[in-house]
Amino acid sequence: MQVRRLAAWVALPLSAALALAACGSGGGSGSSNPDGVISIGIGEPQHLLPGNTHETEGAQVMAALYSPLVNFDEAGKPFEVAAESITSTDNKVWTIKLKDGKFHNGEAVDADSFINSWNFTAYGPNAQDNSFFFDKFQGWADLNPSDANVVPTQKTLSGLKKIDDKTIEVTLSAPFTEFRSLLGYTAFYPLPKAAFQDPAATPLVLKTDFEQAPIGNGAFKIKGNWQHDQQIEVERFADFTGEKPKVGGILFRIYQNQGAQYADLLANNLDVVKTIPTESLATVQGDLGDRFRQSPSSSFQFLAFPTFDARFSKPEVRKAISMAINREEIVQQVFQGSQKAAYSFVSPVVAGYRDNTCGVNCEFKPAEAKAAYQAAGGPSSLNITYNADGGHKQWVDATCNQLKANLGVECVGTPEAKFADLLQKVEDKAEVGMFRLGWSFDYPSMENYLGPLYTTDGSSNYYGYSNPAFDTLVKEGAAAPTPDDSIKKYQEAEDILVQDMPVLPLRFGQNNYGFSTKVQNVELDLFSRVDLNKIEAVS
Amino acid sequence: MSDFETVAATEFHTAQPGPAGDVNAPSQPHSMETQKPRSAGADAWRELRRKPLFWIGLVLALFALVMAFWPSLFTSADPQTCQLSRRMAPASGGAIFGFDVQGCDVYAKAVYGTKNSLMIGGLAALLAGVVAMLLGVTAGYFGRWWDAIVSRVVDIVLGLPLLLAGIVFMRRVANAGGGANARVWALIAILGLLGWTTAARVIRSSVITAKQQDYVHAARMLGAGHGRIMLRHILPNALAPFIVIITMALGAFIAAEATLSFLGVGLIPPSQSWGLSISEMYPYMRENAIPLAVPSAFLALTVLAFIILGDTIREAFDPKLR
Amino acid sequence: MFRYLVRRFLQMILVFVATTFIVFALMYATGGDPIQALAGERPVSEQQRAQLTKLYGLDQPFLVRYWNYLTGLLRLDFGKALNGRDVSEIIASALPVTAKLALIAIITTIVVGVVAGIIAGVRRGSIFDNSTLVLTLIVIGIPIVTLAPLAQYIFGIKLGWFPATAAGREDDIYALLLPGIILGALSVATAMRLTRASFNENLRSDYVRTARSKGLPGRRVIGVHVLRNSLIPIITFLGIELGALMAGAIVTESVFNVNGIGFNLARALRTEDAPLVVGLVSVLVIIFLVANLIVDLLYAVLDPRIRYE
Repeated sequence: MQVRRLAAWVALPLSAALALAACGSGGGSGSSNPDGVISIGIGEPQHLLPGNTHETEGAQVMAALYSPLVNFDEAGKPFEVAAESITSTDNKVWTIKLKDGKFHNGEAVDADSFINSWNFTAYGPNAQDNSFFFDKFQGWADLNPSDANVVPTQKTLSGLKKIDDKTIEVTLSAPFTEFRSLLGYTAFYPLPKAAFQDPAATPLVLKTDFEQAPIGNGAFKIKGNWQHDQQIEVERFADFTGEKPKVGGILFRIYQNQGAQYADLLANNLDVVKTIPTESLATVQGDLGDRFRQSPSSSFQFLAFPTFDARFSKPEVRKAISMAINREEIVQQVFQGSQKAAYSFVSPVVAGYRDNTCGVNCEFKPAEAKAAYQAAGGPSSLNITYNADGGHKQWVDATCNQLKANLGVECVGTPEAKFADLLQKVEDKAEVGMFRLGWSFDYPSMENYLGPLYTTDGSSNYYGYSNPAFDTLVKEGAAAPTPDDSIKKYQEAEDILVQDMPVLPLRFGQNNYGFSTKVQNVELDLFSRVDLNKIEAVS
Repeated sequence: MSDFETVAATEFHTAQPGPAGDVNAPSQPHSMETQKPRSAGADAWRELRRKPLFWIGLVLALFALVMAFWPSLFTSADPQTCQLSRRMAPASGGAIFGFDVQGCDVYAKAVYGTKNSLMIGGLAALLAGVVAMLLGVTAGYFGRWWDAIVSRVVDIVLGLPLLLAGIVFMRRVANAGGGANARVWALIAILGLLGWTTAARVIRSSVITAKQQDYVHAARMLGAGHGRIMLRHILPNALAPFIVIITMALGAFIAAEATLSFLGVGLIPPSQSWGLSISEMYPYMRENAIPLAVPSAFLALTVLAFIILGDTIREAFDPKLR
Repeated sequence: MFRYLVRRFLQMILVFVATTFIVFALMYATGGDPIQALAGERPVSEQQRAQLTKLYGLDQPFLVRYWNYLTGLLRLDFGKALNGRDVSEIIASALPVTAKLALIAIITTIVVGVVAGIIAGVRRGSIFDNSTLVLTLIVIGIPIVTLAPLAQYIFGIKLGWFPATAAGREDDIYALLLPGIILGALSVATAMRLTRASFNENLRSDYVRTARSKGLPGRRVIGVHVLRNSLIPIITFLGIELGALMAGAIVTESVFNVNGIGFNLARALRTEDAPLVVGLVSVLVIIFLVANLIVDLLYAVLDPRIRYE
């Protein structure tokens, strides 16, 4: 089974973004201080380990400590960083050639560094959160038997082969056209031999304290240890062979809430805040002036229906609700224009996006909506369940107020303490009514917005949607010979969604970030991380 | 907030010195009035009548009470009707304080919030009072093992600060999937069942004092049963601290409800509550402080009213302060 | 005295076991799925579930887990938080911070509250007395949820007198000053009223009348006799207040991002990190109980009428 993460953004700051023209060069005309130390606000990371880091807080720190095989340009196209080349003739067997590189402890970065790291992550009993990123690799199933109590027969991925010190051959279980993009994720960072108790053992066992002071191959090395709930400090790694950063070090200051981060930014005690809290959006222009920036993000907010619930099983009911929601008003009033109303199922940041695929189904037509709703026999009372820890209350309440006014029904926003609670209730098929979900991509591809969310066995298909035609198109797209062919299939699949409306697209997110007078050239990259190669300290 | 608990607690320690909850109760010089409880009440009333602060408190409290029962007297707007297009709009027509971040009438919301606050505060205080009275009087009167048990239970409940315990218990209620109405009753039960300890101690002390009075011995010798002695001779002595503590606890519980709602474990919509409004609006303080200030002021004034009342009544009942 | 100490100690153990049991039971009977809570947004694979269940001992019966927890406490082992850190390690880093905060709060309370209370008590009925009385009533009426953000905005951001938050600067007393004072402000009003009432009462007592009639100067009567007797309720108050302070710190520490006990508790509650909640609450209960014990012992020192058998 494929599992992917759903974004609970705002709590975990907006996920990936494309640094498009809008964010431009980050202000300030001061001269750059190459040895300056800057501070970036983050939340406490869950982990600092390639196999376990999957949220933006940890990913930001990992981006300083590790150098990825590929990174992405502004159009979302991958380009090689730690890799010399990544090639394939059939999209099934891939050859990865590595550049020279060094870990912070002096070890050379070689094929084993990656193979060890990947085998460790993929091995089921290691319980690494990112294990499923290897599910397209040949042999993944052998490492992850469906019965948790069974010890896997294999200890390493059969699809992983060391050709020489600088060359790795990866065999996938099925062709995957966009494999290069996949390799940009945190899960594919290397680990040094020093990370393991015995680097020759199978299965590999990680040193217990490794995470407290990770050794990476990136432009910065950790200074001291990870000081939980306080800070993580990194300094420039002198022997780094890639692009040199323009600051001497970075202090990642750990906050519990964004309000506190923002307050510290206003007091000039913090240099970068990656997410301006929703409640401060109305005042941020006055507070920061041109030090407030926006850039598109990959996040996609939508309203899901339990399609297994008889009240919502008719597409007509779902369409009527969709037409009763004034998306623009919510974007303007609640988000102060900091997000974009969504009229498609795929984010504008990926290739293949088409404007307004939703068409009339997403247009705000209160009168028609009410008539259609009554004709279809929609329920007289609605509720929208959301996770209380993600800053969703405002827009959920606003949406409910619109539905009350436009459909003449009762509507209540129902908070669940945490996202996990919400998911649990949905999985248990408890009466949650409509519920909010968000998504941000793991790698820039249209497939990532379709497969996990709507295919019958999609890992995040919580609404019980199933359409065989859709499943087939997504599968064909993944195996298509070229990316362009893939996109065509995916677009056909998206059109099916418009007919069925299993979810209502609401908004595409944006990064709303701010910075102090002490830094310049602040940009957020694809994964909502501050671009650490560009940022400069003002002297 | 839990510090209100200590308001009541500590103010009474001044009248009842002695280590908290321990058996060596103070033997206070009691004036003659205590033997004729009715005249003590009359004396207190005579004392109260002359205090402007008492009248201020009383008027505020009555005002809040009327607002709780007949909110439509104060506003014709429906607090549940919100239009996003009026977000943070200035005052207009009946909405004398303008609109909040959801475009709801700030004034109407505050007016309708009175009911839950007073209901939760009132019923919780009543519950706490009844529990305190039952346990305090019986523990003080019977003493021995029953007193020991009650005292230990008091210790245990006091071991968890009110707010802390409230959070943990309400968290449990939230997880059990309690709806908006269930939360209201859960809050009443939790605050009431956690907030009786101080009152019980005070009542217990006053009962122990009263028990040793000559007239109680006399009544017993005349053959009065436990029930009669407790009802006719002991209870009136416990009444004064009971009234005071209930009034003060009311203020404290209203504030506790607001704090719990603020922390996200109290009431949930569509319930109207000041604490809920405060938690919804405080992040927007810098943009527009009015939607925050109005429920805060309602909350503060109501809490104030009951604290003043409790305070003045306490002084009136305490002969030594005259 | 010794018998009293033994009795109090046994009593403390009883209270401690009972309160931790209540919290333990509530946190572990939440009906939520702790493993799912741990994983956050992602579905949990069977592999992970099995691993974590074993790691946190969730497969054992409830009473066994509670017993293990209690015996662990004796070795200062508070178990592991759901994020993998030792709870004792979190406590060790958070406790000094909250202690500093509480110290600032108590100093604020004493300096402002007690001093004002003494003046008001001595000059009962004066303008100072009446105005502070009304003022304290108003302070009692303002909830901390309004007070804390307001102070942060005015003094931290607008005026810039204090750091807006204390994140990452927990060693810097200056950063803790504002949240500490806010925390203390909550008890200032009560302390003031208490001191006033206590002073008042003692001023009217027979022994003061005796002392005065003996011709002792007023300053000495107030400074020695009245002060000593008035301190008793104030000390009780401070002891009990410690518990309230810890609870009030949940809001204050969250607003100011002070990485103390309250801050961690708020987070643990939000993430349903049961081991962490139980650990933190245990520590709070111990502090509270010890503080109360000290208060009771101080009584004996301050009030010769009280003797413990």
